[in-house]
Amino acid sequence: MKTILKSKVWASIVMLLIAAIGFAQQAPQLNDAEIAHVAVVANQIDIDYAKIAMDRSKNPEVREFAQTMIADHNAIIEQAVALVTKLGVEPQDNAVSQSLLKQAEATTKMLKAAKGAAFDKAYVDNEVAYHQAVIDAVKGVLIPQSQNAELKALLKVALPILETHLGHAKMAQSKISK
Amino acid sequence: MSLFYKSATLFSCFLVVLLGIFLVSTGFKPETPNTEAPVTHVVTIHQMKFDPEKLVVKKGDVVQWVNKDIVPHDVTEINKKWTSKILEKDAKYKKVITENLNYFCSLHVIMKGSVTVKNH
Ligand SMILES: [Cu+2]
Repeated sequence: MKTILKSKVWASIVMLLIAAIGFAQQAPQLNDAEIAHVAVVANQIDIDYAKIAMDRSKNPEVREFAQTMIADHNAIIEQAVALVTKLGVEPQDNAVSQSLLKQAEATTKMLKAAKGAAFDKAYVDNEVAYHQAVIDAVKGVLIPQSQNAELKALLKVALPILETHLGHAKMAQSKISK
Repeated sequence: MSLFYKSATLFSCFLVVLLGIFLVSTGFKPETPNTEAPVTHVVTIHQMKFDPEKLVVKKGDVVQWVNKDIVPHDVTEINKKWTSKILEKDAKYKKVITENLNYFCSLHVIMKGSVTVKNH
């Protein structure tokens, strides 16, 4: 069971990374409305993972991390929504958002199948991989392609937040795997 | 009390006040600096960092943390002896520093800072 979970986690990580690199190389042209959509979807996905963790984990460190994910990713979404409202833009569904959601569906299933310490490990491992993939996408695709200066600025504000989450997740990961 | 004595006292008071006004208006500062006056130092929380990360203060000085990020942070003593509680955007927290302090953000545990007390 553990090894199946582990390989599933790694399979999803690899798929996500391939997807992220693929985006960067093929550079799917995203307009600002699509970039805003990707930003909201990517943040919402991590909130949803955190909510599963709050339901299932009894590990105080994992729970504190998940609480931070909920607070911070909500704050980023709020900024994104405030910006599109100000600009009068409707976030627009697109291939990148779709692929993120499809991947998230598989990960959610995998997380919900895990219990106890195995869940904590699966959740934290996924947080490391997910944040890395999102950071790559923000740096490689979303920031370079955004046309609106305020949208670009908001993505640049989100980057150190994502990087701090990645560092935090890696720290939790090293403690859990001990 | 004689009238002379009374008016002399009044006059000298007047002179002292006049001297004071003169000294202040010419930007005179006492020779010995007032080492006791506590100073307020500001640590800005910005782009997921405490800035400055390391601060040197005198005993009794005040440190004020200001959150300039869009996400909430806190200021928590490294062994969790005390915490500022959650600081939303633009919220401030003040503390009088009486000893060396190592602190972190309990929401983002990799964010750390320190305050060192130096007497001179
Ligand atoms: Cu995060």
